[in-house]
Amino acid sequence: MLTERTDEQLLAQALAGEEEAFTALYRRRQGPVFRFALHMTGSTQVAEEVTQEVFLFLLQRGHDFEPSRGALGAYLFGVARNYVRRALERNYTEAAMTSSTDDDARHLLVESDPTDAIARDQTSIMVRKAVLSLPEHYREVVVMCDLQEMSYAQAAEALGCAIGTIRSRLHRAHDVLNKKLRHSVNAGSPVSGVAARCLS
Amino acid sequence: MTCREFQDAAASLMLRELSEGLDASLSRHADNCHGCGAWLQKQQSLADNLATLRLRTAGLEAGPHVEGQLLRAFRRSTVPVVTVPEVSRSWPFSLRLSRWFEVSAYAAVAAAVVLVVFLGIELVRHPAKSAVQEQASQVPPAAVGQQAHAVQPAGAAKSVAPVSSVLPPAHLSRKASQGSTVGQSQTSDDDDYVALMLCDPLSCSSDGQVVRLELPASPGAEAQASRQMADVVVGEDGVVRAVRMVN
Repeated sequence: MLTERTDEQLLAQALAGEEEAFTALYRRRQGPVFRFALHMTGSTQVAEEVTQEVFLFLLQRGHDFEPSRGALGAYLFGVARNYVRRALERNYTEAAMTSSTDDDARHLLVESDPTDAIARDQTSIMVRKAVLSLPEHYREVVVMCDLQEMSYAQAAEALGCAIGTIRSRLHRAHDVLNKKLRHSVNAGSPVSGVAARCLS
Repeated sequence: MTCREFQDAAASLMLRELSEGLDASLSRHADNCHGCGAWLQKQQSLADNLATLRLRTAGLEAGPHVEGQLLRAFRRSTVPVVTVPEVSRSWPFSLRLSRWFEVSAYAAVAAAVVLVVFLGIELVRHPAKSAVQEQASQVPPAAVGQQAHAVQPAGAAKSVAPVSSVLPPAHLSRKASQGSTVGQSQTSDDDDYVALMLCDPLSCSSDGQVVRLELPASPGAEAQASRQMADVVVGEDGVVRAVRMVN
């Protein structure tokens, strides 16, 4: 029954006090929000914090959501994006106190990620590092369009910019990723034979 | 296909489309051109790597403790729904009475506005009629006929009034009969003269001369046979006072 309802209907019922509606909405939308935060920060812990903050925000300020301005999914990504930025600033500040360079801070974020156990393949690790090292505005579009399979229009709605901007950022981000991955291969990173052929 | 066309076409595709397959023309060009082939291979390898990463992280979700914390927060923040009682029953009598007065005041103002607008329209529509009615009510019945003649339209006054008032005096006719060189067809009947509209009654009373002229019978007639004789009364100022056609 609840699965047939739209996000907007579930939100309205959740704000009216229906716990089942809130649970259904959370279970439907928490995965993409969590993965977006995970790919943006490289940390499962930070991604969970961001996910929690996003849905708490929805509970407190959900009345401000206007369906006429866009889908709830894009709205949640927009909120998540703001919390991710705060988390990155906080983590960079903490990392700066213990390390001298941003690269080290990013490295710490990646190393603290338990999902490395899942992504054992060296190529995947390298790609994840390359994505994490992208500038934030490039990383956002790569995560949304390439890793979350969002369309250009959905990404534009979530990021509040034009579709052309998404397209050009993505094109530029792919160039940067290719350069970073080629540099990693030339630097003698541990890459498997298949991956080395792919990245040649 | 040129290299530029190839790169434009390939760049417009999303990476996952590049990984799934290519258009035949793109593939042909990539096979023949070494540079474009290498570029395409890089793009495809990047697409494959990102797709692999996407598949490996597709099932990741936040831990169950996040949902538990959110549900606890939800239960804390949930406010019991307050049922609003019916307004008519809960309102005190004084409030209902003031409400009635308020509605009545609005209705009265609306009625006054409608009345003022109606009167204004009536005044704008019939201002002259009301003025004549006022004058008629003040003038005695005997003078009503004269007043009515005075307020006749200008066109009607033009066709009736001036003819008798500007007829040339009798002495003009006498002078015409004495001074005329062509006396055979002359007539002494002053009634045949037709006063011209330019003739002012005051100036027409002065002396004038009668001149017999030969005029064309109609504006378009040129033949001699279609000409006609006419007596014209010309005043001292040179202005024609009246005209009479001579048979």
